[in-house]
Amino acid sequence: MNSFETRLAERLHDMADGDFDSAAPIVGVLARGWAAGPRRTAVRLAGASLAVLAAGGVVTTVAVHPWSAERSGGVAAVPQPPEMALMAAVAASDGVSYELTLTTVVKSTPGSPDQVTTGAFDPVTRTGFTHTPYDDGPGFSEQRLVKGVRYLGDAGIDRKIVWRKVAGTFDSLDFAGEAAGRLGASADPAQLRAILRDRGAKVTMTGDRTYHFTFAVAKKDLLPQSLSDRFAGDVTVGADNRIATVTYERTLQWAGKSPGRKPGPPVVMAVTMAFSDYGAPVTVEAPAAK
Amino acid sequence: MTDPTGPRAAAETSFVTFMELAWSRHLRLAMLLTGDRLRAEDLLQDSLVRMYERWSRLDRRSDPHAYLRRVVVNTHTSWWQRRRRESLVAEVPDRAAPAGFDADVELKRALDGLPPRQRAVVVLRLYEDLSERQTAEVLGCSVGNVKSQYARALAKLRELVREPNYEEIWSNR
Repeated sequence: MNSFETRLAERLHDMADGDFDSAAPIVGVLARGWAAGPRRTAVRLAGASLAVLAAGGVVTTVAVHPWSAERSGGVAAVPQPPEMALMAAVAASDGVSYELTLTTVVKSTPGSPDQVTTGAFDPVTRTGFTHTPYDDGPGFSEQRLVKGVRYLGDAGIDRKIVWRKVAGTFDSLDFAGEAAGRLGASADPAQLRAILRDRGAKVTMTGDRTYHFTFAVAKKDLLPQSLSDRFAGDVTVGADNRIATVTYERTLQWAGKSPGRKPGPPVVMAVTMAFSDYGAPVTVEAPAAK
Repeated sequence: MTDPTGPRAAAETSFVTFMELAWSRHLRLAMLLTGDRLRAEDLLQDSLVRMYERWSRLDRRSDPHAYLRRVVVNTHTSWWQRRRRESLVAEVPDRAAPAGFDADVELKRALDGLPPRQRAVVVLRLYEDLSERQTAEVLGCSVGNVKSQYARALAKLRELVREPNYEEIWSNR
């Protein structure tokens, strides 16, 4: 490729890398597809699923194994590249309550202790909790989400928890901000799902129910003062066709502390998420008022 | 009503999942082919409808993204030919943009000046980073044809796309 072609390629990428994000017109395409031929008229999503689509939801909540159409016999094979098969499992895990054990360790800091958070969340009722013991004593932190109202608690050496209510209402647990610290953002299941949905994620199938993914955050989406942010990990899909475990390493390169200074070594963090008890009810009470 | 856990619903689900993944990825390709956001969305939607009609018959081993890319390129060519027959094609610029141009506008106008096959070859080679052989597969033509279309397109773009004057830029700093 000569220099003219190289510059042309760069300009094409610049043109295409603008903010063109929009939602896929799922209902429109399916409706036109159904209308296109008599064969399609016999094919309908379940009413509930269509309602989800029409309301702007992502995909049907029906739990379907990526290869179930083929395995059930008598039906034409459905093409499924690995990222799609994984997305089907992600979609099946969306909108359902779950229990979670989240283990985080900063590998780039030798001797850094594991931070283990346990919790549960029901996105329908916007109710859940997390519990994170401190690594340097008997204290711990907790958060409770009760019908969208968030409470953050902190217990010291006396194990007496002090609660405060956060203003506003929320749709999810806080894995990023006050409850988890700066790097906690990378351990947010919702963020991970967003990553897997991102067009830049590369997915390969490594086994019957296991997938490997790599992802580099686009320049425009990098955290302030960071130079690069990469994820590499593995996902295991359980027998219920939902996400069972996710393990990944995140390598985050911060910029130098001042202009012209060399950046330090990257922060490398290892995260393990284990999901269980999908669909089980999650009951959390608001802390007692003082 | 279709059984929501049945195989047909599974096919629908898999297509919806694919569409979620494919939309933003191929919208950029459609943008570069049409040069217009709304037409790009129309083009991609038309292409997805065509693909949906064939979804359950597609070979599972083939890459559906590659298939969609082929449908998008071919649908765009069909559109262009139909528009030309209907004499609705926009006026094509025949010279470089005037001074003070915006680089993207200039490149967009230059791309608009290419016939659809040449434009597709340029976009597939330089944006999608496809080899000559892969480009030939998308367009359903020979490698030799891709080479000649690409050479013609580049010659035309060299005339229409001005390179930044780096000496002038440096001297003004």
